[in-house]
Amino acid sequence: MTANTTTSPTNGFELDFERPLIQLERQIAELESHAGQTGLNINTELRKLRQSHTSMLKKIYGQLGAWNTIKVARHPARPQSADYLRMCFADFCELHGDRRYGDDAAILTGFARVGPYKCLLVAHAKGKDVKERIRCNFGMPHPEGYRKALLKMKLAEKYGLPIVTLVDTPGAYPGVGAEERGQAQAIAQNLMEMSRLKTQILTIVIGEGGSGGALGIGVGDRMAMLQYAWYSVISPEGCSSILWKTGASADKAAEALKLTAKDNFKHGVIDGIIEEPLGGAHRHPELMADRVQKWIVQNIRELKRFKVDNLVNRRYEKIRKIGKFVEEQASA
Amino acid sequence: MKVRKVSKQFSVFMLKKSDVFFRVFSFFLWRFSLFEALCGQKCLSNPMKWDNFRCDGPRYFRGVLLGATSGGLTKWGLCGYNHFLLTWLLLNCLSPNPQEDSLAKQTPPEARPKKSSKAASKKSSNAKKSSRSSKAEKTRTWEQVVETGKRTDIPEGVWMRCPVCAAMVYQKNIEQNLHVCTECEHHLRINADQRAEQLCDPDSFEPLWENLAPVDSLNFSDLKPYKDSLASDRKKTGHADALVCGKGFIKGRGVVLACMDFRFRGASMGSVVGEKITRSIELATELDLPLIVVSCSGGARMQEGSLSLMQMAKTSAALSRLDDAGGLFISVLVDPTTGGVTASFAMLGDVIIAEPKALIGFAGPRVIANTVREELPDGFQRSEHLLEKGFVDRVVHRKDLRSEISRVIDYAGK
Repeated sequence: MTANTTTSPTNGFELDFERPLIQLERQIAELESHAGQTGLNINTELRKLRQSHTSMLKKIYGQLGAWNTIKVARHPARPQSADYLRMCFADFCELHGDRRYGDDAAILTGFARVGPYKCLLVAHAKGKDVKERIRCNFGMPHPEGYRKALLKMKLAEKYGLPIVTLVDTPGAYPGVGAEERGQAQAIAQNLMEMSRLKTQILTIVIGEGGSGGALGIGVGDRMAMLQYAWYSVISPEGCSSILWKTGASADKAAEALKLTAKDNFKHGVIDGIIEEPLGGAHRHPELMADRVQKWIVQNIRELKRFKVDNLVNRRYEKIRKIGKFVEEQASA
Repeated sequence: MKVRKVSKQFSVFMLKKSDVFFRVFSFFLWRFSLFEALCGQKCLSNPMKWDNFRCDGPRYFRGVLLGATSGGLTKWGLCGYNHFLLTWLLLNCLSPNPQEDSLAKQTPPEARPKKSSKAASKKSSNAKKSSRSSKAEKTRTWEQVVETGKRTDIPEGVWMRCPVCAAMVYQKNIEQNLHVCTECEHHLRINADQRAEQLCDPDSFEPLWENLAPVDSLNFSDLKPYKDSLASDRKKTGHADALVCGKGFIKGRGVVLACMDFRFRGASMGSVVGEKITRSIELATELDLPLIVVSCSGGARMQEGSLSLMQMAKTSAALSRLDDAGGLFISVLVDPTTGGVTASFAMLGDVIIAEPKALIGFAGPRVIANTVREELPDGFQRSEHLLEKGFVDRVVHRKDLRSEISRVIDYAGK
């Protein structure tokens, strides 16, 4: 494990709060190469350095604030749905098109196998490089993306396949075309249909879970978040520009919105948190993928035990309960 | 100012020149039917029921009143300034006190020229105004006053400026016209109580679950703590949250009606709004009543974080059950419906009706303009635009809303 941490997985991208950590990583790498060249035995120094690296990692990630969590969630090297597709799922058979308007690359749909189960995968795709990112519109789907997702989910319902959705989007795309093709209507339709689909639905927020764009494929029986993912009603930037009247208070907004996995779990919005490896998923993608796969398999197994009608009722009851308010006495 | 009862139904306001209201009223006179300036709200508000004016709108109603005052001497078309003279004559004849008589006689010089035309009346008030202002400040002219639109001596809430056509309109006229501008047909925003009153048969609306109140579960604080905003909005609106819902009758048809109140945190959907909408949906499902939701909202409530996001799922899930049970859901979209509300129950109506020129969309126009970095086309995200794109069934004028809703209910056989 320690050997892994030393190789910088960050693609040269540095998070500001990780800077001392990365310096240390460089030092270790230098020492290693130096030791390789000269054949000196500096194992004790290396071990010490690695130990301090691990403790620093623990310290930093142990008290990660909301704003820093968002930075981790947006880390360019963080595994995306394409990575999970590669690592957790097998035999992916992609299905394209919404049969009405077009094919949205920001939402990926298709049959896949996870562990012993066949399933339908629906996932936001963000793209790795610039070209791919532009093609995927930075993970911001258009209405055709949501309609495609619904169409494929109906297919899964028909064939009794469980649905696994991976949420990773800053939000649905706010553009002219998207509005004209009914972004709101597409999302609303998905919310309504997903709440009564007669099959198991699992949702994992793997990175960003922004607003209706995330919820549009995220209504289901079980919902989990990765430890450093965020999920909220609006992006902190959007919130800050509306409530603080400036985009510069995004960090305050992030704290106020309580958008971390822990807070969402506390408020009963999600059912579980999938713990990330030390230092975030971007440091150990394989390990992360392994945990994600385990969670999916375990939950499909549990949900398969319910009769479909019961399942839908339970899903309704679960969603129905969410919300906090007080019933004042009539005299008030 | 004196108020005199002329008959059982009508009272007349007597104005002295020294009266503060004199200037105000003289301003009314050139612009509007004088009758309302003279005979105040008593006679107007008395028989004001929905069914009196919904047939032809307020003008017909006003005509009836005026006709009644002058003993049927005038015809409908002449209800304006002629009327004032008649009323004034009536007033003079009735006046037993010669002093008051002379007082009343002072009124016509201002009033009479207005009979000829609007322009002339404007001129006369202009002249009057300038003669008055010569004492105080010479530079102030009538045109300036009209341009700036701010007159300190106009009592609050009597006149208002239409935000679209900028015409000065008499608020009482607007109220009678269901808060639609009499000049340009702009549908002004109204609050939930007014909406319920407008839609339902008189006194038939029973609000439900008024005791549900929001809690600040996130301990949210932006420039102002969320708790304080809630308290101040509660004081302002008299409601605990942004939704008024209940049972009522629309033209004799029982309905479950929910109206959003834009004054309360921009009618954003938090836990309480989500819960009340869900309860309304469940009630409609249970009683097999048509559900009508009048949406106007800024979206999901940011101050309640992901809890308010989940209300979108909650309301939509409840609607799926209503749909399964074969219920009827009429979604009425009014200005403005955006964000999470549009992306959940508002767009899930079996029949979607929108008021003219209402802003309806997922993202707000400013956000879109910032994203695409270009100017948005005219009329973008307005009801008519959505109608064209196929996302709204009908665009209906506010005065027809009631009859349209009841028509749909009839067709659905509910």
